[in-house]
Amino acid sequence: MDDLEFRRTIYADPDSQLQSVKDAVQSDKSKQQFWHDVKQLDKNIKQTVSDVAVPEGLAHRLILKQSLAEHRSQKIKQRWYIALAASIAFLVGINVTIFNNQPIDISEYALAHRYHEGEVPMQMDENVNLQQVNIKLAAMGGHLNQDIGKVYFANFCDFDRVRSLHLVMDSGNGKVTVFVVPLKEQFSMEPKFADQRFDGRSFDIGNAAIIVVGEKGQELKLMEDNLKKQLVFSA
Amino acid sequence: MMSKQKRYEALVHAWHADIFRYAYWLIKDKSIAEDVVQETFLRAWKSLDSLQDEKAAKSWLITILRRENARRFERKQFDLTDIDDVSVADEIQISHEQGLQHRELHKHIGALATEYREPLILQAIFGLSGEEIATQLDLNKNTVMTRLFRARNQLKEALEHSNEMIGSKNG
Repeated sequence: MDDLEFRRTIYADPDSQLQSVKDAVQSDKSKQQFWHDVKQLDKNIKQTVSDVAVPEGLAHRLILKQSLAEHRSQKIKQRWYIALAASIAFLVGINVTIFNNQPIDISEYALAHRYHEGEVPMQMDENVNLQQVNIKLAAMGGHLNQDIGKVYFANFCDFDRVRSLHLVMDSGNGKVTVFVVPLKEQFSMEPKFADQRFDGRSFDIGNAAIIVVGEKGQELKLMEDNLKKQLVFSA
Repeated sequence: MMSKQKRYEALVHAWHADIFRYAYWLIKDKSIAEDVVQETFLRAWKSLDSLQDEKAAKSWLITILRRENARRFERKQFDLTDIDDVSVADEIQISHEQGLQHRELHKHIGALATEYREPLILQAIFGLSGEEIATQLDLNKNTVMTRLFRARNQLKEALEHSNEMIGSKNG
């Protein structure tokens, strides 16, 4: 190893462990002196470099900053969860709306209505005459040409948010409930329907759905025929 | 196994001082150095899971710090002083043995061009080998060895020059 290479090697790495470096200094006093000087210089460099005072409390600030950042990101995560919850609620809302726009089986609705009202209308006898019935029917563009039997009760009711006419009539085979409901697009109906307690018929006349609900086994055909014959809707 | 929090705190305690000193010598401004160190450790926390081997922590932190420091230049392209020309000798309080030679040396190290100063600091603070410095700075080893040689050579010459100046003043 020549002198220049030796100097370069030592300057680059004063702690060199190279065998060639060790061999070079073995019998060369001036190289030994040079290496000693460079090691001394390097010791001073290391000391100077490490003498830079680290700001007091830096370690604590680093940990604090991290925990604050973590806290913030958790809060952001929480906000994220809230946003997710809100989105789900929104979707549920939309689905309910869509569900509400699904076809509504008015036969089922009629039965539910019949159960809900109980026996009160059935026991009432307001002795409604044809003219009074027609005034009410006129509100939905309907007209009953002839008396088709005694009308015990005639009142507007809410039929799935649609203003409808609720009648209790004599069918010739006992009292029946008749609903007159303006037809809506989303309505669907079964011509004949029944459950454990009631039998029913539904049909449309013009723009109205007519639903007849009677007791189980009650003859409803005659009522249906009469209504189809005498009830007209202008619209 | 240590929790992530415990690992992080251990990492901070083990390395914050050396990382700060490295940042200081790189940036030569104490408060900017602290900012960069803050960013470095925050970044380290976020990707702590990627640090598999604690033995690799040193080079991992150095890499993050160099990247954060580079980002600082991207962010602040203007408002920049050529800090190589600014003397930093008076800014840092040398904690002990404020000998003349130390102060002189401090000034001269600060005055080295970054390309010479950085490998020297990596070697002096972290005890990195020539190969490790080469990997860290993305240079080949010969280039690193040449720069280390020039760094010490320049320091030696600068010190000799200062001594002559002092000698001539005193004489």
